[in-house]
Amino acid sequence: MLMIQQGPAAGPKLKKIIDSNFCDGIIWDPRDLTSSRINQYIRENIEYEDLVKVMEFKQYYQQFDNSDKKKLKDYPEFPKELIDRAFLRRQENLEELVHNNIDFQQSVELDYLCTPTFYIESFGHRIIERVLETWQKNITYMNSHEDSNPLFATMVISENAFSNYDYINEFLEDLEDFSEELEGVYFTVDRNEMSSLRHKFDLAHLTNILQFIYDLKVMGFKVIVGYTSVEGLLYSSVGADYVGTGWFYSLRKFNRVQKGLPPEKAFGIQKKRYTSIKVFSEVPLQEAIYNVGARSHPIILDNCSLDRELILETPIDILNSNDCYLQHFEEMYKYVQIFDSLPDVSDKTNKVLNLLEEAETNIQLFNNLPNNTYTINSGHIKQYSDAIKSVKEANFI
Amino acid sequence: MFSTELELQSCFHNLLLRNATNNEKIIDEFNARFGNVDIVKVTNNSNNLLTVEQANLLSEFRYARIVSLLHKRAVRTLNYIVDISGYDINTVKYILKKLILTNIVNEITPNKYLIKDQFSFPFLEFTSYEAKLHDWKKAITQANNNKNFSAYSYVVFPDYMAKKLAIKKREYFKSNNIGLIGVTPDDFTIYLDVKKKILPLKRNVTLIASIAKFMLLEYEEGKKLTI
Repeated sequence: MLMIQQGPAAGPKLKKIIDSNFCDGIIWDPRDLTSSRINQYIRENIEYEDLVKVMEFKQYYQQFDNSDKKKLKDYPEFPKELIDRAFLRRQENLEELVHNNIDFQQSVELDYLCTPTFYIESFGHRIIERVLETWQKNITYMNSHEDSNPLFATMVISENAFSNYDYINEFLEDLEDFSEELEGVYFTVDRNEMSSLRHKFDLAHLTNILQFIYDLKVMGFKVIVGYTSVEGLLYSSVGADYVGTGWFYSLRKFNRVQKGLPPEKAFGIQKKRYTSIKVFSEVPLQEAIYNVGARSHPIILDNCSLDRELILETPIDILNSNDCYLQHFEEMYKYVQIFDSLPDVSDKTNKVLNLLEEAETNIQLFNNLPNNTYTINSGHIKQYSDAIKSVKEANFI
Repeated sequence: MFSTELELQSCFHNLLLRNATNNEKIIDEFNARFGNVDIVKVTNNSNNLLTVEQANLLSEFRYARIVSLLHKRAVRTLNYIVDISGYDINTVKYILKKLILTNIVNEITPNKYLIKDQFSFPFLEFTSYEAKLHDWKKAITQANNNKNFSAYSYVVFPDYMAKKLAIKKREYFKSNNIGLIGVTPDDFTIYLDVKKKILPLKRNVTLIASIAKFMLLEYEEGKKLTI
């Protein structure tokens, strides 16, 4: 299922996506929206009633001294001290973190509750002990208050933590102790690098992320993966129940640097893009569609509402950015629904492999169009395909 | 001949400058909507000028975008502008208020807008040049993007490279309507010329913002183009 990863400038974008029914849920971000504003959205649109609602309080912003906390710093429930080793050593701090986190989430109507969110550099680091301890405290607190809301263990994990599966195995063993009391795991991968190739992934990391999702599912957890783009379909194929995606690039690819105080020059130019699973990519509209013209349409356009404007050659400046963001949701939702309709992981992973194969063919077709000088990068297609094949082989899927 | 793109760009800039007429201006690294264009030649064919305030506003994309949706004769309502622009209503109201204050837009009756009769854009024509040593595909892609606001769009290479491209890759340039120029330290040659692209201002936000950005540069330098 597809969730909106809410972020900045939400107003008209949320309305468009929700009114179009291109999502199953929403992950609220109190860093950009206050709880009263969130409640106002819920009150004003009946469509929210049918959506799965989650809110992440993002305490990990307090793990970084210079992070840009935006509205988080204004909430009395948000930790005031830097969350470092000294902070985490004190039991009362962990308890306060848990109480405040639950109190804060009670200010909004939610379907799943989250534990406090920590940033995890490596599954081998000692912070893992504190994280597990905090989850236990969270469960104990909810039990003592007869709060039976489903709880998700929530964390942001550095992509580098997926370089080796040994520590992950140990973590999963510890996690088994929580399988009765936790509903699921909600995690986001911090993609570390700022590659200009938007879909590029390290093969070993991606394989281990997919294996992690698969293992969590085998253990009986529900899985939400936050901040994803087209690779969210790979996560769906190995069993993730929900994948979150958003309108801006920063909501489709989590990067720690972007969450702090990045230098302005680190930002590229925001381009209007078209998400096409036919090429398994978010392609820039100007270069891949407008410059190439009608020849690009049968290869890239995938029967979305925006296609009409593109076929009519509406000037790119006039295209409403929100309609471009909506197109991303329309395309993702269409495919997430296909995966949701397939009975098991074997069918889902076979489907994603088929899509990747078709994408490879379509990219070659596009790149070889006569007199076309723009190339859609296809490097990630093989990475995605190899990662899925590895997981299938390792788990006899 | 040229060891860096910057060297090529700088040489070509000087050659263009040598040939420039008194209503032409040569600008390096012109900040168009989609990134800096290596060199832009701006030809000014009118007496109209934007005021500094008008240029300041219209150089911002969101102001240019709202203006691009308005007309002098056909009235546009607030709801129409909100709907087409995708901006929220408060943003649109704020933008319109500033456009009214700078004498670009008129609110003829509440929430109904026209471009002011007295307001006109200066008639500027942009010719853009992308300088590259080798990567001709990237050069053509960038030159294609430049067509959003340029009447003519060229790529510029060291002369030996341009000669080769003119023979071997001619169709790429022709089918994309991109011109090809070869440069030596002393002169340049147009190997493949382009057809002029007529660009109406209507609904062309990049062109409107580019005109305003150029006017701002002129004000910043404290001098105007001679007509």
